[in-house]
This record gives sequence, structure tokens and C-alpha cells, in this order.
Amino acid sequence: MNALLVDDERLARNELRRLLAAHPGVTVVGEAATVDEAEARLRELEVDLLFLDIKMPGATGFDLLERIERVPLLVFTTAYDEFALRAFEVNACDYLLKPIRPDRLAAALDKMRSLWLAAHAATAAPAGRRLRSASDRVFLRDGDRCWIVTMGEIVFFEGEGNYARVHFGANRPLIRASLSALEARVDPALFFRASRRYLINLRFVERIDPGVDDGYTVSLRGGHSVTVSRRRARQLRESLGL
Amino acid sequence: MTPPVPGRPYWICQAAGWGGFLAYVLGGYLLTEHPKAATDVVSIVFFNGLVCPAATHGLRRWMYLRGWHQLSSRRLTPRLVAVVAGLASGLTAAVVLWLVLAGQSVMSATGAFSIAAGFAVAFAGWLTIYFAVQARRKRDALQLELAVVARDAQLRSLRAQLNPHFLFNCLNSLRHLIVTEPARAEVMVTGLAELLRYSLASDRLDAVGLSEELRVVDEYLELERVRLEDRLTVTRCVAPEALHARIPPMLIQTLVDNAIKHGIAELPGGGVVRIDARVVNGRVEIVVANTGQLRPPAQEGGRGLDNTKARLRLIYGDAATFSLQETHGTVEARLALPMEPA
Repeated sequence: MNALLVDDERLARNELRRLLAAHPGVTVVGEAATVDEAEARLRELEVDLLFLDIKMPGATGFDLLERIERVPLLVFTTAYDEFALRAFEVNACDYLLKPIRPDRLAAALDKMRSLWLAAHAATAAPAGRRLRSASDRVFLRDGDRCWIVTMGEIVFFEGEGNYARVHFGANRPLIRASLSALEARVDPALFFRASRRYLINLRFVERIDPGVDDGYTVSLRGGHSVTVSRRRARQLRESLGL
Repeated sequence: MTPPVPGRPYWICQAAGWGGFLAYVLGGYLLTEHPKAATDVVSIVFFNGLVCPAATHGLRRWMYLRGWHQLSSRRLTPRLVAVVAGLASGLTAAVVLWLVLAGQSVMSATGAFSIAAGFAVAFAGWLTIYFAVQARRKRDALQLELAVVARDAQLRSLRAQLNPHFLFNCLNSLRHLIVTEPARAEVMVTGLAELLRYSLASDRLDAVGLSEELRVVDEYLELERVRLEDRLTVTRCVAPEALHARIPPMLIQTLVDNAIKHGIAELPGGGVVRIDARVVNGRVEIVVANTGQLRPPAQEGGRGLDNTKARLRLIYGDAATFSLQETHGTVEARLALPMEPA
């Protein structure tokens, strides 16, 4: 796994590098001392695993996550049990308290390795920028709450002007992105623009029934249903058809 | 428990209470009894004016010695009823005996009973007032104690603690230096120990010399330099006479910690921390400045400075001033304090 170390303290990065030397499966491909540097490294390097400090000059680790297209496997490193981390509601990342215990690092790497293998089994990862597909992880933030979800977990996006509500599990965070912008960035084999308001995950479509006013009702797993026009319903059947 | 020496209010109450009682009984006697006897007047003055005050004064001591002041009202009431009955009947018997010895005939049972009832009412009244005052005093003392405890707790909670973020980052650097640069690690451990010792001792000290505080601030800055490396530059200008000032411990340390946390650490290229101290008009003026911008206090930052302000208000009242301002990319915290805390 290719790792990028992001921390504003040189000694902290050196220490992490030294600890990672004991794990031959991990190659440190770069370091960054600021969020801007980290963003650049993530663009130019193929990074599987990101070690990220939260407090950094000018911007936080969360700001970095919001700026990048896809979130690599993520391990937060922090000096103190910060409120920010308690707000985190995901299982798909881990965090280490500094000074880092070697056994905690080993456990975090084990967890990341299994997530990595699962992701690689699902997609043969082509290099460079691409559309977000089912196994890609994204970072969502709504106020103080943060999530990391794979695209495949998202049931649908609901447009609300320049914002979109993301429905997955029991969560409904409101993120700053228009539905059209989202549509342009996701894999059309996975997400379908059902109407002006809805961008739905095809994997969650359960049934399509004729509805009122010449339209159709699409039922999604999890109890939601959205109304689509006759034309869209035909497109939907085509994209779902054999 | 021996009784405390009674204060003026006690004697005033004793004199007024028993004086009133004596006047009431004597007045009643003089207005209603015919014919009047000199022995009666003498006995009334003797018993109501002397024996009763003495008895209650003795009773007060006796109750203290037996610990009655600590009893709950449920256990105290029956004892007091017994005391009132005992005192009233004892004194009545003494009055009867006195009159017989003075040559009068034995008084009727009704007469004796009315005398006993008079005494009983008087003693019951005395005890009621006495314990009501006691209860009130106890409540006042408790309230005072609570106020003192609350102020102490408030001051303690406002005591500047070392910023945990700093502490753990320090330990992290240290862990690395132990392997790569053991000599530097040694110096760092000693400095950290010094700083921790001072921070812990600050819980017990009300004031320290400015020179001592500045020495610890230097240790702290050395440790920050290990983390921040060339991002941190420090300049210091301290007038010798300012070193005689005594200040609450960790006061400057908190300001410097803030300057680094919200100033230098936020700048990728780092900046300067400036510490000045001088004496102006008999007050010590301390300035801690850093490169950076003042951000709205809505962010988590404001806490440390709010604590500092509250602490200064508790210790100095209005005698200390504190301000925080930004000019031309420099944030300046300015303190003016009396040379000694009150």
C-alpha cells in the first residue's frame, strides 16, 4: 500500500516513518506539511493510505478531505482526543493518538489492509482521475458531523437548490453541491438522474410501477419511492435491462 | 464542647428579655395585689431579675457541654420540654420555700401553679429565641463557607493548565528524538519535567515572581521550538525593575501558549512571538504579541483568554486591565497589573 504522511511537524512525520519501517507492506510515497501540499501530492501520486493530522496551519485535515475527489483509506493521527474525532461516525477509518503505540499502528494497518483488499477485489483500479464508482469512498460533512461512505452505500441524492441531501443508512447530511454537479462526477452505470430532484442509486431500485399523471413510481430498497416521468422511466428500464 | 464567649447581642437579649419579664411580673404584682408585702417584691426581683438570667446562662453552658447544639430538632425538643418543666417547678418550689422562710403561710396550689406557668412560659420563650438565633447563625456560617469554597473552586478551575495538545505533541517529538538524537531528548525531558512541576505547583501558589514565570516560559518556548523548528522566533524585552513584580502563576504562559496555538502554529511559514515587560506608574505592563490575525472568538480559541480574564477579575477586582488587539498582522495581548496581587 502506498502511504502519504500529512503532519505539520517534521519530527512527527519522521517518527511515523520510522514506525512504518517495521511494516514492509506499506511504502511511504510522500510527505506533506500543509493541507495545500497534501492536496498536490494526492493529485500527483497514487495514494492508497493517508495518515492525516487534524490540526495544521491554516486549515484542518477535514478541510483537505472536503477538497479531494476520492478519499483514500484514512488513518487520523492526533495528539489529543479531540472533539472533532468524536463527531466522526464511520468505521471505514481509524485514528491513532500520538505518541503512537506500535501495536495500535499494527492493528490500524491490519484493518486498512483488509479494507484495501476488499476494494481491490471490487474494481481494478485505473490510475488518474475517473468517475466515482461503487467502491470509491467520499467524505461528507454537515455541521459538526462527518461521515466517510462508499458510493455504493448511498441510496439517493435529493437536490435542494445548491445543496443536496445524501441518503444512506439512517443518515441524511446536507452537503454543498448541486445535483447537476454531482451527476457529472458519478458513474452513470451506478447513479441515474430520475427527476429534477433525485439522483438515485440503481442498485437500490426495487420496483417500477405506473403512477398518476402518466408518470411512474420507482420504489427503492429502504422504503423510499420517487416519481419519474414516462420518458425517464423508459431510460431507467433500459439502463437496468439485460 | 465548651461554649464560646458570648457576644454583645447575647447580653443585650438577656438584659432586655429578663428585664422585660421582671417589669411585667413586678408591674402585675404592684397593680393587682392588695395588700402588698415587701418580701414579695424582694422575691420577685431576686428570682425574676437574678436567678432566671443566671439559670439560663448556666443552661447555655450546660447545653454546650452536653452537645445539645448538635442535636436534631426531633431529639432536642423532648429534652428542652423536660428542662423547661424542671426549671419551672424547681424555681417555683424555691419561691414557695423562700416565702415560708420569710414567715408567710404556704400559698395555695393555684398560686403556685400560676407562678410555675409564668416561669415555664418565660423559659420556653428564652429557648425558642435562643435556638432560632443559633439556627440562623449556623445557616449564615454555612453560606459564608459555601461562598469561600465556591470562589476557591472557581479560581482552581480557572487555573491555567498546560494545553494537552502541546503536551502530547511534545511527547511525540520526544519519542522520536530518543532514537535519533538522544542528547537533545535528554535536554527536552528535563525542560518538560520543569514545566510540569511548575504547572502542578501553580495549583498551590497564589503568586510567583515574574522572573520565575519568565524562566518557565523560556523552557516552554524551547520545547515549542523542538516541534515548530525554525517556524518560531522569539524576542524578549524585560525591564529589570519589572522582575520584582509578583503575578499569578501560569498567567504569561497561558498568553504565550495562545500566541503559539492561534498564531504561529496556524502559519505555514511561522512567525515571531514577542514578550515585553516594564513598570509604568507603579504597575507592571506585560505584552505578549505574535504574528497572525485575530479571529472571531466564535472558534474554540476564546476559552483560554476568557479564563484569564475571569481569573484576573477574581484576583484583582478592577485593578487589572487586559486587552487583545490586532495591528498590522500582529496580535497583541496587553496586561497591566499592580506589582503585587491584593
